[in-house]
Amino acid sequence: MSFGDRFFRNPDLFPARLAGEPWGERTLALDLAGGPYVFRGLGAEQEALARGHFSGFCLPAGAPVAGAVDCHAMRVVDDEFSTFDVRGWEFTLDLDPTPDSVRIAGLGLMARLEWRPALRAAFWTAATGAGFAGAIENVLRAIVSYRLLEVGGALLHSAGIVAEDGAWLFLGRSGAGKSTLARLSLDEGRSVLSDDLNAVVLEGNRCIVAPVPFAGDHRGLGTERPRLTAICKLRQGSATRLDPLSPAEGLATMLAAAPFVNQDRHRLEPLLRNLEALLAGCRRHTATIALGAPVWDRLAPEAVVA
Amino acid sequence: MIPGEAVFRRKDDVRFRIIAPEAIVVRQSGPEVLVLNEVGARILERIDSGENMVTLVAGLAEEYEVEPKRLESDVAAFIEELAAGGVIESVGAADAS
Repeated sequence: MSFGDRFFRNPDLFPARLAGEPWGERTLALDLAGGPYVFRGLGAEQEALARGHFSGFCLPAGAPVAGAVDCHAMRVVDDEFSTFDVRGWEFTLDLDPTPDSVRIAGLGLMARLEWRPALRAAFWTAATGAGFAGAIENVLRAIVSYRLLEVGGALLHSAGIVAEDGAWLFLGRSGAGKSTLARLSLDEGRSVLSDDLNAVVLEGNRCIVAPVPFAGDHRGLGTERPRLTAICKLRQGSATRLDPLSPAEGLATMLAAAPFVNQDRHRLEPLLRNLEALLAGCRRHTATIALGAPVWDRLAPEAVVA
Repeated sequence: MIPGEAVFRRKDDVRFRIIAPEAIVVRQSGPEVLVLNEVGARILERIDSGENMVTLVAGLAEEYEVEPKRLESDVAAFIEELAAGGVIESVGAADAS
């Protein structure tokens, strides 16, 4: 199947540039890792949806947004998109990276990222209501992934949990147990940053986990910026324990967990450089978690909340 | 059985990075990431340099101070595994002498 075949009636009509019909003239600036990010071309309904969806990350109107990544929201007619039975379908996006652009196709969504020379983007959808909120989040996930790549960081599929010594990221794909681990950790008094995606960035010589509004069931308050202290490859087992993880295993685990950019053959080298630098500053473990039993007294007995 | 003069090469969509002593292999069409141990990493390095099976086994045997005969079947099995996994492909034969 070629790019977009599943999602569009005519993939050849995919926009070749960042242009189209905006929803309105409103803008929304978001403050999160690698940002700010400014969405332009929103109507009143789209702005309200986005504000609600990204609450805690919206900058006040008039706030300075120098150096922001611009993203234009465009409307298209629903006829552009194919319909298919989504029962049992695992949500995926098609990616078509080139050296100076990335095309993204999804269910009811087209998006384009360009570097001319700075990163900017546009997305096209006919979705309203929750469908629009889902579309804008999917686009923002891609933009943040690529933006963090530029600034030496990475977005990682992971559960981020705060321990006494800093943030631990438990990396794993869907079904690995990230949300369950987050819930168990909350029950044990730990703070959860996100149970789905966490942003890791370098600030000086410190590697920190910065807030992003991307989560499954559990999302933090968006205020904590703990230092990253441990990268853990998450797996389920009959007994909770920590084992050593080699540097190569750690890098492979991080690479597999870096959405969008890990599929981009034009940007693999900078991604590997970033991940190696981030990994160098923290401990590496394989974390085997027995779901349904207390976790942190086995993972880090010294970090149990009294 | 892989002939002694057989030569392999890394596929175009495969990237390889040494993280000493191991290595990672990225199949970008997947995407898929594999971790190779030290010996696996050395075999892929030697494949990258264009060595045929005879030269590769002889070089590895010297490097690890093992009789070539003892290595042959293990190296062949590993190479077949890499080929089946889409990491390398055969490019024919080179003089094994």
